[in-house]
Amino acid sequence: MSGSRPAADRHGPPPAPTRRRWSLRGARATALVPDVALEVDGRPVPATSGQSLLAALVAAGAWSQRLHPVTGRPEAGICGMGTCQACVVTVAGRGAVRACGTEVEDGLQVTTAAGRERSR
Amino acid sequence: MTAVGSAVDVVVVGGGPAGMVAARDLAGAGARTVLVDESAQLGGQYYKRRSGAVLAQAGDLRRRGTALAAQVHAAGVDVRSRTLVWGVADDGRTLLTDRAGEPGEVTARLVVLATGAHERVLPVPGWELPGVVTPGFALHLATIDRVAVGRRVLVAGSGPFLLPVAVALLDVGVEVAGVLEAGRPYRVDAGALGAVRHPARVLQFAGYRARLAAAGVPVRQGRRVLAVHGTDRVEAVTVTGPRGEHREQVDALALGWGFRPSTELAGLLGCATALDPVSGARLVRADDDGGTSRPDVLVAGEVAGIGGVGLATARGAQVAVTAARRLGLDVPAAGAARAARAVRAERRAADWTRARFAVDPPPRPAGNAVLCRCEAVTVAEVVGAGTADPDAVKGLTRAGMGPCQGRQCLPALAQLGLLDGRPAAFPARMPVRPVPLGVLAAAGRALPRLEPPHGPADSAVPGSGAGPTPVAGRTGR
Repeated sequence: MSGSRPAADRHGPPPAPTRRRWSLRGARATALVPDVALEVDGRPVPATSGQSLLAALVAAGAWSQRLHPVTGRPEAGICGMGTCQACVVTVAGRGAVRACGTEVEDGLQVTTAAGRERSR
Repeated sequence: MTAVGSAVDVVVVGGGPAGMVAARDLAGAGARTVLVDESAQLGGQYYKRRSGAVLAQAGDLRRRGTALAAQVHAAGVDVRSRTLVWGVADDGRTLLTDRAGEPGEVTARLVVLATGAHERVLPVPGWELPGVVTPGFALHLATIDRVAVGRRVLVAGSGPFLLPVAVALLDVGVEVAGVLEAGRPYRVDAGALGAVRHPARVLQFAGYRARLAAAGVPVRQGRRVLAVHGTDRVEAVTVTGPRGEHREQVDALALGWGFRPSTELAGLLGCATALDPVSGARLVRADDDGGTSRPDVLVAGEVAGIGGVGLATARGAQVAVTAARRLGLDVPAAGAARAARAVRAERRAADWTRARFAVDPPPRPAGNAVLCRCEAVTVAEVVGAGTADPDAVKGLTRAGMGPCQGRQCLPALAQLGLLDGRPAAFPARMPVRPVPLGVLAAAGRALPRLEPPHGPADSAVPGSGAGPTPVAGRTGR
């Protein structure tokens, strides 16, 4: 970052997005206003465009995303960046996709492992 | 996509800080430059940017990254987003790509690898439960998506990264149960005196710690997570404490031990590697100027060695100087000297930080922990295989055979190897990233000779280098 703002945590997260944070108490993020509606396992899930499908699933508490191909146990994304494959879910019209690499869209119909279990 | 035979001057792989700076500077110096990046927009992991309504509502989190991306486009770089490099052909001069199922290729006189790093997670029993995430994922959820990973969350492992992750969690309303740092980086001792040479870094640590203290979040040193409990989701973790072990009720755990360079493509290109004595990982052997054992392959950023955004950016500028010279382009001497100075200064700071965060004794993954998440193979099964040869480990236990291609289990394998005096690493194989079969088939038709140019040359790990590897073993081609 050509020395403009040396970061202690050189690998990750940057300083605060705005200066307001210099109250030690910190500022709670204002909640996002949802602008799209997904359908996850038949239930409506609100989301904000720009979020990943995985983020929307996490926000909705949908943590049983895939059944492990070997153990059959429910699993969920651990990396959020396309490595682990554990967040693979089914999107109508697209088949199996990694939720972390999929953007939310209005009307997206998503089936997770939890949904498949229930419909059994 | 570029037609076969129409070579450009440079292809940069990876659109993070190092790749963006390298591509911008090279295009600015007059090189025909292609930048290939997996994501929808430039930035990489550090400058990962908000988009859509989140951007409109919450603002731009990464103004510096946005500015850098604009400079890349303005410099005339041929940016190919949503495009991943999965293999090489033509003795490494051609990179094979996949853009959402559409096969492509780039042929260049020079390759600059800026493939970044992966998070290093060491397994504990129960880490396969939903709700265990890497610190980077927890951070991106909080900052990019504005989503809390859990209601009550523990942040654990080691490294300077854990503090800002905990702060970001506070910002989205998470109750942070604590930060458990396995090392003792914040102790006051003789080594801490070195802090005076890195005031900016120390101030930033202090800022995060003040923020956590104000929120009542304890930062404990020399502590670890021993196990994760729950049925279908994280419910509790067992952690070490001053008076023995105890349980913390949490619904998510952010667990990470720093970062590991993403060297798969460098391995596929046959760049010589060396063993990192701290992590057991194989690192690309790179000169200060970004040069590797292959004159037509350069490395920049975290793939050249973990050091954070400052070092990555400095290395991006440095590698652009090196590449421009190799292409016979004019490089002003003053700029070249400045780039070299920046790399040296940033590396000193990175070295100091790494030394502060050394963990002693090094962690040993428990036998009943799952080592290979993809194939559900435990640490004990891998140790029981009794071999140091990674291909033999694969054959005997299936560890490393899954779709992550060993990215998740390699840190643990390397750690075990280090502790037992037998370093381990898987040879890189095509495809280095999962790609649709149609892409492989199309590449196979277009390029009948799809062999990696060399086996991984390896100076520091005798006997573990494999010969030329067969292509795309898992895909049955």
